[in-house]
Amino acid sequence: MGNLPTEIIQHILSYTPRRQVLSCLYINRQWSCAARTLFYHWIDVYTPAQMDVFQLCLSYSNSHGSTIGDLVRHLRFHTYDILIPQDEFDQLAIMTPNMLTCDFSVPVTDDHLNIFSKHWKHLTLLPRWHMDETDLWVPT
Amino acid sequence: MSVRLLSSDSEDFTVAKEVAERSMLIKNMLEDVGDNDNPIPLPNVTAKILRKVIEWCEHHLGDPVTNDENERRNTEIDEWDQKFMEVDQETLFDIILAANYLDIKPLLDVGCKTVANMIKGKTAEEIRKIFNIVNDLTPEEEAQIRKENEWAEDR
Repeated sequence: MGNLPTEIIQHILSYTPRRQVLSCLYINRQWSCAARTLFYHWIDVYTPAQMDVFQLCLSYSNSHGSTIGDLVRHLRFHTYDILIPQDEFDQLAIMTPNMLTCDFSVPVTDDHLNIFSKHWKHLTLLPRWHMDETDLWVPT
Repeated sequence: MSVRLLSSDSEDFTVAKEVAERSMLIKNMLEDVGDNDNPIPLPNVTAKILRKVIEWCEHHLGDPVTNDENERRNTEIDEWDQKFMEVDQETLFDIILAANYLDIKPLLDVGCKTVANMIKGKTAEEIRKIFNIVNDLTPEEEAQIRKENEWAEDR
């Protein structure tokens, strides 16, 4: 297996569920690298508690020279309940500089829009898109 | 019309042009050099693997080419391909590497899906055993991975 390039391992992992990708972080360095690039490309957040822990993990990673935040390209919130103050939101943005889309899969209010950050230079999609798509996701 | 391909161990293969052109690498080369009789050297592919690859390309000659990423991703491996991929691990990896080098995306997909099926539901330790992988992560690195992925673990 030593002879498969990392990009192919990534391709293989793209055919497995996210749980599986997560366990592949512990195989060896090469797999770990492939798995984390794939895993952090797209982040879904379902609860405020999870968001809190995610931010803690980003700072931890950031302060240990590993920077998973650099790998994050897409962030999607699946709940109305996440209220992040502007300064924390900026903090999040600083730690995820390569973000392309940050998406509220629920209708957003203008209050939410305000928390967008000037630190995201590469955003290609703004959540305002969902203003009139109320049926996209309904919290249960 | 036919095309000659030369494996890394100097075996000469003659195949129909449309079979060879399943490989985007070869297709582009043919477009560049035009018609001539010289064999195309494939220094990264042995005769053993090239024979397998040609067999695959011949079988799938009539397949519609899909550029739809989702369609390619979600298609299950068909029965013929499953049989085709029943080879030892080394051969399987060599086929994947050849498909990657020759740029035959559907074959690369089948190969990667086959390996994906082998690891599904397995722990890191089990996967290491299957592929004979040495764990070169230090306990400190492992602890760090565990810590930075905590947010994903408890769901």
